[in-house]
Amino acid sequence: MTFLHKYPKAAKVAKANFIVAFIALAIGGLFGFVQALHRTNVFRGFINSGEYYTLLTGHGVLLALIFTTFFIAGLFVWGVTRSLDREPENLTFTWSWFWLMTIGLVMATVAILGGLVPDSSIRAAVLYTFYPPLQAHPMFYIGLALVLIGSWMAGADWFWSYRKWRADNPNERIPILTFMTLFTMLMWYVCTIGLALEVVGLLIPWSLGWVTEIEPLLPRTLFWFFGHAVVYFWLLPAYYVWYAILPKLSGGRLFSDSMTRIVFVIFLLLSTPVGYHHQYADAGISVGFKFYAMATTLLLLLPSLITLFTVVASMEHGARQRGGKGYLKWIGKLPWDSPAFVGCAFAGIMFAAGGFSGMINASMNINLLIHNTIWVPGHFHLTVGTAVALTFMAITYWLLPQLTGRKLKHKTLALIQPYAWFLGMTLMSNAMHRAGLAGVPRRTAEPEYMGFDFEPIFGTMAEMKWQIAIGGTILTISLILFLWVVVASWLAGEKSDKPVDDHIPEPLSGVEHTPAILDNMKLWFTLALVLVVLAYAFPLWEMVADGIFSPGALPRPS
Amino acid sequence: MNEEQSNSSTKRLVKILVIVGIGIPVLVELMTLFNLINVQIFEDEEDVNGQDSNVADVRGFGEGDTLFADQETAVLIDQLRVKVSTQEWRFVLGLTSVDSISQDKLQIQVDSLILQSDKVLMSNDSNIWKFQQLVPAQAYGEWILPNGDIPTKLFISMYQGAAADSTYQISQEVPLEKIPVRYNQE
Repeated sequence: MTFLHKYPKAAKVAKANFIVAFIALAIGGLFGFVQALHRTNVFRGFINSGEYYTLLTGHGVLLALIFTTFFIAGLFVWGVTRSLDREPENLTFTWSWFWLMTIGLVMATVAILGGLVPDSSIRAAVLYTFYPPLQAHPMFYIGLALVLIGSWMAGADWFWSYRKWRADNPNERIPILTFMTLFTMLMWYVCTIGLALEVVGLLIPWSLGWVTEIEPLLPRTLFWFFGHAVVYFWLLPAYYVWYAILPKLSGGRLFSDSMTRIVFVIFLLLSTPVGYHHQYADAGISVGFKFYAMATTLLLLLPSLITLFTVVASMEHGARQRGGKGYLKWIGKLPWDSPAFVGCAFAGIMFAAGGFSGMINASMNINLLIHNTIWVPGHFHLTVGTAVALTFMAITYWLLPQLTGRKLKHKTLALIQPYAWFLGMTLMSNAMHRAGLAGVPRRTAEPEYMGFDFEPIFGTMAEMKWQIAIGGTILTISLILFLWVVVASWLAGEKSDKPVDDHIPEPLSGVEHTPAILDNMKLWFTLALVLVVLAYAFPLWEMVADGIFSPGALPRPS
Repeated sequence: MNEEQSNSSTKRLVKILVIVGIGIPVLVELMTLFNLINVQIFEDEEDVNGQDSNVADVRGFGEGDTLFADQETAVLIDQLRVKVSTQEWRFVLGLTSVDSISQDKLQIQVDSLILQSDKVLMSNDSNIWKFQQLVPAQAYGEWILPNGDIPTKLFISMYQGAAADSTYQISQEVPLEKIPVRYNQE
């Protein structure tokens, strides 16, 4: 018996979310490949530089917002159902949020792809950040609003299951998979306040022509209220996998239940008040608040380092169970022939590298060296593009058999895939970071200036461009391998009652050693709101004190 | 036996994957680290790659620069842009006279545009501008470009009234700086 046989309704919901996620991954990944070749001038035959921004928007929105959100929804349906041992409470409600998110996704995607249709008035070349002065068709913003509302309903669905479970189990501690889900969603509720205000209060009325002037700083600030915390909304499900499943894949057990809960509590508290570190170069926000954001951002290193310790300790325990010895020799005993393990392990390594460049982004002074350069995409392709995306792909190799009741096919291709991703991303991201140090800008199809040469610290610009293009190509091959394995396994994998070993062992230091206060959601949620109010209340008040739309500026150059 | 063979081939594959998939990334990162340290500690920044500070000397003309600067009627470039929509690339050139025009017969003509692809766009009648005695005198011209192409140089001539029944002509080769490409959502 596997998940599909025990919880067929939840399995269907999780699979539906995964289907949408993988379609978004395929389209967004293809756009990324075209961008890599176009921007580096290696091949410009697919699009012109005007259409580049449509693809850039599609790449960002489909991968960073749609692939992640739907995959996370599928993962959390699996985790909550399994750990609470109950199917969703009301399937009508469950399918409602799924279809609401899907309709929103289709609306946003149609608006983006409209940019590729000649003379279309429907377009949304507004990049992933979508704040003014770039303006999209109203369908884009309304679609995003529906995805957001759907995600809120999904969270409510999991809280509903939890309340029902709690009524039956008044003295039990929250199971770890459900704990991580609920705290991630609490953080999501806090940070999406900013997004909802921006999209519903400003962007939809503006795109419909109801207002013509916007205080330019306000939507930017509201976006970044959400815009960095959303990184943790992607990342916490990766942590979820590293804490709950990776130790088992290593052959061992989670090192500490309490460490896991502490990390999720800290992320709930600190994820949102950090947004100003994306606005260090923005006038109109006091440097004191920027400093506050820097401090909270750097404090987030703490849960990341706790995670590094706990996950590596869990992996070491697994390796020693498999006969590993010595200070480092145990690493060789880890299951390097398991695609699920290899993908998660590489994702963790890449996340550590992304953490180093993230420290530079977070620091007010040295951030200015790399602000708005291609260094920044180099950074987030390590964090979101690998730590999150590769974890999601890798764990699919373990989850898919449970959801479909079919064994994985093409295991050799599945094994090659994470190694190829690691290689491709290293090449691409390394060159992006180096080009950023030379001042090469981001978010442009035409990154070079005539009469001016970038001065790389070492190497040449041509060599960096080729490294980016080759890296992007290897990543695309890796993505094709992943999709091929998934589709083949889903449609033609051998049916089995036990297609994969899905047992998750208890932690070495279990919940009995974990302080009960960590489960107090009301306390931590209230504290999180207080920290957000401290960070944002005064600056936002300054922006809206003379009216939400004034002093207004024409939202685009006149 | 089959299982043993399969295990052995998987082990071989893992070795290859580790060498390629981990070895190359480690090598790339180590080389990056080495080069960064080497440049910071052992080399002067100006010596890197043999680059020097004269790069700016070859700077082309851009918005705000003056054409025919040594002439009586200098002309300012007040617009130099490529406007892009999904289906069309348009090059826009706007000129403004710096001082009042004293001659009745001042005429400026863009003779040709050299594009990044080395294609040449020749002038047409709409690119001949006759300046009147207005201050400031302004003129604008547009060219449809092949998608993705950008002008790198233009040849421009000025015809100025001299004595009765005569004019004199001055031609200038104008290398252009990287022209801003503006995406037009309309």
